[in-house]
Amino acid sequence: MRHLEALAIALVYAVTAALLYATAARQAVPVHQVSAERAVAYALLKCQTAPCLLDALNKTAGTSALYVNGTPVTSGDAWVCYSAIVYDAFNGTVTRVRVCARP
Amino acid sequence: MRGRRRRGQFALLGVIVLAVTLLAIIASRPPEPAFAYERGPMQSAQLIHLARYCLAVGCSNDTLSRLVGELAAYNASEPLLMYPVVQAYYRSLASTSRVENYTFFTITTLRGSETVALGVSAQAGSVLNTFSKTVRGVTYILKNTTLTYCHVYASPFFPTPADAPPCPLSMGLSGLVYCPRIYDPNGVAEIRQIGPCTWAVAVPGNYTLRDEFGVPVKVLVRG
Repeated sequence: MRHLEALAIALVYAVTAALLYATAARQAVPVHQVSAERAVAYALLKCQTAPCLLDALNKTAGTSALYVNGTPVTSGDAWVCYSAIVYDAFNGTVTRVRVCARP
Repeated sequence: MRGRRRRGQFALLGVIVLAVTLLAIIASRPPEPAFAYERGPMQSAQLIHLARYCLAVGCSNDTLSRLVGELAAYNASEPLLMYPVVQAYYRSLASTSRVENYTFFTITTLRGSETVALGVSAQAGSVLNTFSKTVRGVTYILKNTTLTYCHVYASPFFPTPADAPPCPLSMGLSGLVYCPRIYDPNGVAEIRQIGPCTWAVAVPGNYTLRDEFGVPVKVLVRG
């Protein structure tokens, strides 16, 4: 009986450890994603044309993929994506830019 | 002896139930990374970007409402992560030497109603002297003056730096101050930056320059 209880307690320890590991894995990522969102915000403040915005985003660390009007400019893993709509006052165009970042 | 064994069996049963419950929790939520999408700074920047475009193409409240409506439509298909924009309005103020343009957006965040605003100010000084200049066969009398031109980007998600250059706005907007580059699309005016957000300009009377975002910069000269 004592062996059985010890086995049961060990099982609970193992499962709890796995649960804590899973929770930690989920919580590790968001910190990195803030930079991608801020990078898009900064690029939008700085730029009024799509080439300017793309140039600013290409310099951003952690950018894994860029899409312009749905067409990939640089391909990569689309982990977390943010979009910006670029209103170009010089030629009247509206461009959808999607930037994806890896964790 | 039988009672102790039964208590042991109950304890074992409890432990097995707990283990199965924990395993079920793990199975239902696999250990994949969960992404926290930050909202706020990007939307504020997007709205200010939109407001600058509105100024560049000739802003009115109707134009602004249409643009905000289009942006909300994009938000439905693209990850713009926008909070609802409950109000947007444009206002322009002008005096003898200063032109101010404001665009205000009220958004509903998790904290309640908050304001994102763009303020643009162009303040000309008095005329210092005049001189003539011929451009493409046409002679202009240019007036030398100083121009203070700046943008203020106000948002609860943007910091307000303590060392920002002063920007003359009568509505007292505070936020990020930006000094855009200005130029003359006609190539008549002379422009030279002499300080943060301050230029020495020579223009033929009241004149409209452009900034790097395409926003018209109206120079109202005195004297």
